[in-house]
Amino acid sequence: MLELTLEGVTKKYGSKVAVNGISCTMNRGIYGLLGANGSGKTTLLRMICGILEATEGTVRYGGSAIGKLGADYRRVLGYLPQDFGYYPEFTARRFLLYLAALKAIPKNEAERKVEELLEMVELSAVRGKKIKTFSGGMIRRLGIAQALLNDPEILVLDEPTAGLDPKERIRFRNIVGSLSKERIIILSTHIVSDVEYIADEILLMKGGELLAMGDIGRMLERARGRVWECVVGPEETERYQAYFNVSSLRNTQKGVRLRIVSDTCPMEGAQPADPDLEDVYLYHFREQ
Amino acid sequence: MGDRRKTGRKRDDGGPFIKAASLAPGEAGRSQALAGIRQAVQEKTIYSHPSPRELLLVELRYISPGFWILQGSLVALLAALLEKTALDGGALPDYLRWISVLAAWMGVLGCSSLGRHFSRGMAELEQSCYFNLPQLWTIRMALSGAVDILALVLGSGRIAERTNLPLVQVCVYVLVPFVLSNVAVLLLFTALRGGRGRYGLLVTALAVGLLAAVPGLASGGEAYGTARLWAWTAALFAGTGLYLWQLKVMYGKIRRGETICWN
Repeated sequence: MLELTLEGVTKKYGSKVAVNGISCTMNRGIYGLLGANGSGKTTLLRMICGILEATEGTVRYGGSAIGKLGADYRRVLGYLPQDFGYYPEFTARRFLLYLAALKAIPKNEAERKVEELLEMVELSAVRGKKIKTFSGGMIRRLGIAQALLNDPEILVLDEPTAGLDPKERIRFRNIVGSLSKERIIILSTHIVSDVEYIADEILLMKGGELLAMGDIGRMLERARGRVWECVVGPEETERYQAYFNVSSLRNTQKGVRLRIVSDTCPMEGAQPADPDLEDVYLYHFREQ
Repeated sequence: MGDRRKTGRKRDDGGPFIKAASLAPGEAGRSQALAGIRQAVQEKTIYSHPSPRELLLVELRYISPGFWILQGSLVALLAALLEKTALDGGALPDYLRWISVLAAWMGVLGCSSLGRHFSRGMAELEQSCYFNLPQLWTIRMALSGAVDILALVLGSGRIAERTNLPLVQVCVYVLVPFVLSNVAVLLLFTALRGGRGRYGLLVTALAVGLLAAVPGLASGGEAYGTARLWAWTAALFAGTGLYLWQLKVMYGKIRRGETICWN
């Protein structure tokens, strides 16, 4: 059964709590893990991948603890680490074949899959080139390809768009969006637009804790009535920014149009606006 | 009436045939279904359970040529120095002076390829694969260790032949620097995280090489006397024990994520 369950997963480094008692259940679909830098996303993902042992709690796949599943769990796992390493003297094809061998994919199957994935991430033309000659975006795409080699049931992508230009990010989004939904995809990022259009559910992490989890519609609904738009004079902008969480600011002929995330109406005449995921993010991370 | 009876009889006798005929796919439908099955089979991920032998072959395929070239160079140098010492009519310390240094370097080189996983940032990714880091390390060490030990035992055999000493005794002298250099490199990996790079290994190679030469240089090689053989044997066993303990600690740290995630 395709179900990943986190039961009070905690990671402590001495007295510092990096991840604090996270419990949730994930079924097939794309999960966007949103949080600021240092919120514990990478630590959580490493524990989900079985690379880091939890201090407390358990990660279960299909009801069994992943530590007990061992290689059987790793067989269905695809992982793109935040700091994606590579052997620079390997060619793209050799690198993928090497990882296919580590993932215990039979040789003939691996050859076919490597070609298919190189095609998918648009690296076919450079399959014979050494990775050290690749741009950051190409290396990232290679990272995505390697994560998909074993057609994983659980795909974990840690900050996959870090360092990518907007075009590459859109390309990445399209790749992830096109993947079969018959798997659990967990994608961590601090860039809201990376997950806004492709995630089925959003997990918001802050200070090692899971602040909220739910589908985007529910998240937006929760923020309804807390997003306001108003127009103020240019001289007042700074004051409003100091007092409220301003999610956007635009100069117009009438003045400066502010979009404010606040529990209460920020000023007389402010109009409630439809929230978007950035507003939700800002609402939860407003102290930062 | 007659027509109705005729029709009814037809239905009774031919019904099943008509039913079966309607279920049988036509040629086009059959080809389409078979094509679908072929595609599904091709796309299905086939899980295999590779044996340790297959993992060994994988490792052999992906060890860098540079590693084998360096290993080969050390073995060639060892053979050349042994022959030169034999031609010069050298005594036991003259042989061991060289072979000990080379044994120490072989140990460093054998373990150095392990540091590559960390220095290239691949350890985390490799640990998430079906064959994980401890398995890769074990195979890699078994491979390079077997090659090194074979070369050293052959070299020891040559020395034993020339000096009329038992092969086992010479092997003990030669394997001590080899084992201790392995211990030194693992210590470098576990205790000094910053020392996993090329320069850390270079310094280690120089240090263990120098230390390995000391018994042959000091006091005219008295350290290789039969009276001290017990000390060498003890060092070999202690070194092997320490090496295995270090591996256990290291694998435990990798499993818990301490070595991989705390860089």
